[in-house]
Amino acid sequence: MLGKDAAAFLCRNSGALVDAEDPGLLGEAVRVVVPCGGRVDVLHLLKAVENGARTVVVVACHIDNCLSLSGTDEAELRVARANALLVESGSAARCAICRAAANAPADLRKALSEVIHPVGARGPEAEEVTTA
Amino acid sequence: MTDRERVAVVGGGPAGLAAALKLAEGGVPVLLVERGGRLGGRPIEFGCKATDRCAVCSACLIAQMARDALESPLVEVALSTEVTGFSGDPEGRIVEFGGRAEAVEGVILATGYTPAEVGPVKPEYGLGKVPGVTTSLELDRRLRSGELLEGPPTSLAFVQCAGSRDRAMGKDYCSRVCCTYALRIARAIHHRLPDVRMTLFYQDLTSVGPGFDALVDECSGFMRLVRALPAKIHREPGGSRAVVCYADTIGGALSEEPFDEVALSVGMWATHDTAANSLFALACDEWGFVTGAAHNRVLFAGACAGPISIAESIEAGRVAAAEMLRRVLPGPRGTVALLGSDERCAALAEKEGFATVSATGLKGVAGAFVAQTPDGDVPVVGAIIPGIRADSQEEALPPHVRSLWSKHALERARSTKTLVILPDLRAGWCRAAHEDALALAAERAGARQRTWVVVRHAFTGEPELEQLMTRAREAGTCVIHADEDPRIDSSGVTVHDPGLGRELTLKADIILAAPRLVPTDAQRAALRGLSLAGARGHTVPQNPHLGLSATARRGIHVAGWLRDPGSSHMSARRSEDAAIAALTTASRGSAAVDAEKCAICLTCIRECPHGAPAITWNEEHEKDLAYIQPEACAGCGVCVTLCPAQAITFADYPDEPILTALEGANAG
Repeated sequence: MLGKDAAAFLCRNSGALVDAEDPGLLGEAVRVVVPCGGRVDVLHLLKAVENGARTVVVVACHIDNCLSLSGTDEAELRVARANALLVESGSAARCAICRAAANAPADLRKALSEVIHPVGARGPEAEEVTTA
Repeated sequence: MTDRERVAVVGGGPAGLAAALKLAEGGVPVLLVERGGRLGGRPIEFGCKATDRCAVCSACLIAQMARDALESPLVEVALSTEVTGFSGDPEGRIVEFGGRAEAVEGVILATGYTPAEVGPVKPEYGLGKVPGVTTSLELDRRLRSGELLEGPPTSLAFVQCAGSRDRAMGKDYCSRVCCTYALRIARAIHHRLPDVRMTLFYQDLTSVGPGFDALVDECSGFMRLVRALPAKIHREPGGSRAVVCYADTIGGALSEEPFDEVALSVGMWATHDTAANSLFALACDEWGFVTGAAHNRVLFAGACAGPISIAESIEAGRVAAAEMLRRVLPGPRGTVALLGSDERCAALAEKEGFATVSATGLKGVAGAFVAQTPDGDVPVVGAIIPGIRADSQEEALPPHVRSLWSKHALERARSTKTLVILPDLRAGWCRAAHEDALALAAERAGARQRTWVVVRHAFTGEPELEQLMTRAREAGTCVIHADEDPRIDSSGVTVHDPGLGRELTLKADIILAAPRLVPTDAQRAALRGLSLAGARGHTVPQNPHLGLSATARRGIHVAGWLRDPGSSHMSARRSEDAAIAALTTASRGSAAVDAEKCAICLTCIRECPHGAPAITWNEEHEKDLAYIQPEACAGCGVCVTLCPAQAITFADYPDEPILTALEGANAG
């Protein structure tokens, strides 16, 4: 389960619907509902880390299930870019992407369990990350 | 809410939700009456069958559609409510429900189906008595909730046709979707729990929709497919497992095999809602599925009319809504461009109130397309690229094999002594090929003529094909269900007959097969020009949001085999219906471009899959600028984050609230 020191970007067609069905999955994480995973910007991810989030998760649709077709792929690129910038700045890679459909709470639970610990375990405690 | 009277939609499953949302999109208020306590029908309980990729089962769309219906200002949802009265008087149609009486313009019935009650009618399967015997629906529910992951079985069997294709129980029809459903569940389980040993017992594997062959091939790699239906399932003596007793149709041996769990693939039964049937004066077939309604303003859609998949049900709901819109709001609806000539598609569009024009190209976006015709440019509301056989090119067939669709070969085939037809040698599952092969075989009733039709696909879900096969057999045709691709040489065809357990060599004067169809150069150019061309020149259909006909470009639809090479006549017709039903789609979002920041780098144009950005002359700033065309915009916001100059803003999801919300994320 995610704590208050986590931020979750939820695609309104997948992550937000799973969260509505089982709010316990994302625990106390700060939720931001976006129209598509592709709307998540590197700026948003870094801002969450700057604000103190130790874990930042984007919950987006499966490949071939994105209403916007390329949104999930774009989200994955942003997560990778944000992590690269964090590592470059001496911080830990704290961003992750989970793919889950609106009707797959168990899949999201498993996906979160796979990313939370690696994300939390990577590198030192959250350091100051200055974003433009 | 407008002053116009509403359309009542009865049933909140896939078809009912799709119909309600389509009507609301067309500006017609909807009263959605659902007997249950929530929207979504039975599929709302189905889990995701994705592996690394979406399985395109469409089950996840139901939650999205239920949310959209509840959020729509034009849809009033009445849950836990039944329709108790209906007056079909043209001067004033009244629907009574939940103690209220409302005037309505019409009614769309989407009352769904009932899962087969296998326990009482198949006591030999031990459902509810033998430990480990369950249903595919229950297995799906446990997969969805995660219970299956926590306590997985070591061995799992699926038993098909539980409650359908069974004359003894009066259900001698195929439920069509169960084979795909069971195989998708099996694949999802294998992806999550690769150690579970799985077996599927079947009579015939029935294909529904594109990708079925690939699904069967994939499943064959990790599970056993046994052509046999169990006679009995009993408890393991001294144990707790379920023992499946069966006679292997292929091997012929009587076997008993224990499994930790056995999932019965329950068929789809009609709801037999006699009150609704008499209320709306519905006609039903021998199994209770709706076949007609007496009132002009009463339509029906979805599984109440027969076994149907979720995707098909959604499309059926949209098509019924389009038909209702035509009846409620008669009059011209604009012109549709047909890129390619197809009289049937044109007739369907014209029936729906659209004028049609045959075009060679298309410019612009949804709502403001311009079709290029030999007589000049014509404004159109949307475009359909029909896929018809006459327009196509055929891929080369192997040596010694002639095309089933060659007039010259057909003429010879009618009179020749020995003929072998291979309808799915190259084309895969194609209804048109099977139909033509069986029709030709049924014609050949000459005393000295011998005909073999070798098929790899069962068509038990297609009653018309079953009838044709019976006619062909009565004419002396031998239909062989082969389990491997045949070997072909100059003297004939060698096939492996799993029923006999050996190879057969069929000497033939002529060998016919259905070639795979490929787009013509003109069709390829049209698709490429619209950025719609996929692998092999066909469009890419593998996204449930695109349904049977939609493309990434709003307002442009691709129908028939051009979208999916394995598409049949029936699905071509359905996709044409769906295309026409979806032609007047409302905008989903709007993004604005900051003229001061836009550097005309074309990133948005290059990256948007929907073709929404364009470069236009801006009068105010007296220069070319990017412009996001709202009619084509899907509202995803991808361009906002991609723009290097941060020139694009998205009114519905601006940055500020996102950044403000993130301020709450801290260690606390």
